[in-house]
Amino acid sequence: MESMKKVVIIGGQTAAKIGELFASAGVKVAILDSLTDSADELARADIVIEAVDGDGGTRKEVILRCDEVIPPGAILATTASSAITETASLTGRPGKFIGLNFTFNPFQEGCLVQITKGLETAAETIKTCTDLLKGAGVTAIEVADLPGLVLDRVMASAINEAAIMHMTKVATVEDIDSVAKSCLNWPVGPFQFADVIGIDNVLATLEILSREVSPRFLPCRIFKQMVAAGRLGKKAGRGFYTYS
Amino acid sequence: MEIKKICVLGAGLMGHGIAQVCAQGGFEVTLEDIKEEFLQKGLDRIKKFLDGSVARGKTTQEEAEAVLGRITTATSLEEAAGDADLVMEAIVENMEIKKETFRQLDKICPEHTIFATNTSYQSVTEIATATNRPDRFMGMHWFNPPQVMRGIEVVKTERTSPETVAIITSLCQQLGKEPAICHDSPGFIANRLLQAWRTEGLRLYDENVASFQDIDKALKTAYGFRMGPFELADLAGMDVVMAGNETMYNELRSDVFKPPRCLVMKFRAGELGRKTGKGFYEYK
Repeated sequence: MESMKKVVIIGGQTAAKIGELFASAGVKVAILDSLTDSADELARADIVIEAVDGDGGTRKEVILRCDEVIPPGAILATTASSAITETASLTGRPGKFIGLNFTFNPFQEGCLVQITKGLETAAETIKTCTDLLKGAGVTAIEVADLPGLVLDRVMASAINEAAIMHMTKVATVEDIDSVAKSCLNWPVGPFQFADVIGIDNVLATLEILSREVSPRFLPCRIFKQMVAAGRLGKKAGRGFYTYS
Repeated sequence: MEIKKICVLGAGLMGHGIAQVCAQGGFEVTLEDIKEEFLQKGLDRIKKFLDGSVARGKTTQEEAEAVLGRITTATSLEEAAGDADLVMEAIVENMEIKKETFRQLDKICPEHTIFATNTSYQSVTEIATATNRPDRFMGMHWFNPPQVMRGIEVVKTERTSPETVAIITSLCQQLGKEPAICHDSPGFIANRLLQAWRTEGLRLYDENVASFQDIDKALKTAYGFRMGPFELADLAGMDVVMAGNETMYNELRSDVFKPPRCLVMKFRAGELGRKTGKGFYEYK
């Protein structure tokens, strides 16, 4: 077997979850919540994954800092779901830059990684990441660098259409969710799903998709209104449903 | 009004199952089709299903026989629907044939009889115009197989009376089903939602964002969908999926439903899915 890769993950909650996934599979992993005082770990890393929760600004800062301090041969990855090529171009290693977007199933066990190839990402970089994930028993797919990748795009289409149905009085939120489960065998209804991932996230995804992929993703008006009113979903106690 | 006698028109894929569920719910059912052999085939399928239930201990032999005993058959509308309280139509998905059938039923059936159509994509509002009872007319959209799927879309038009909606909704519950009320609109709830989801999945493949196998794998692994968009297209058949897409695209004029190229090409190549042994995947 090839020498074991040393993985460093940077970030908070998401980083911890990813770290756990690797650690439980016996992969050598270190989790850093900041870049200060971690020079040793970073200097020895084979793969560094930026998994910062929050806005793009912080992500970018972390990525650029890592690019300076990690070994020239190391792979630099981000968990962001868009602009891989663009971010790669800001680093000195576009061939060794890649997207590793982790989605933890919010309803049951399961995790999927969308391995996102930037325009310049080298085949060897993809292979190293694929092997690492395979070795850790994590299901992964390869996707092109396009906003929403696979998961967000398909789900955004369904959620937006459900919202349009609701707003045009085809049926109630409850009845649409009920049909999704009892007629289509879906694990949850589109509105329950939207509440779990956050209405702000749904709106942001639809906005980027409508700008960069197609106007067919034009967000239903309800999402903007809900965000304005603070009905951000489960995390806010209220979205399409009320949570206590 | 209390429903006691139900007439089911069409003993095919949906009709036989609907008749079985109604008979299991304790109703007297008349199953009607244009030919005796279609009825026999429908009855055979019901028997087979019930035999399976008995074998698995889900029901007793006596119960299975009682269910069959509540189903009679007929090849004429007069005989089948003359004294029905509810007629559920599950015949061929063709507007003119549906209208002609309801035109005749309107003359045959008593005034109180409620008419329900199991159409998936035709306008319930338009079918109802063939009758003089638009207030007692609605859609009752079942899912395949009716014996197993819990959900039923209860489709009301602008003219359907609240009493009719209430009667049909409570009937669904009596049959152990989960009714969802929706207004007459293209694809109702389920097919519209399914198509928005599936079409986008297929389009990702058109755009070379990922392989179709990976798209299926992603949605199953990340969110627990039982089947991916491509597996579902293969199961339904490209001809059926295409027809659904075209209808929704024409009716709603929304690009969300524009048929993806990969679907059009599979259809043209005759690779229709499971039924032809090859669709996106191969089947032996």
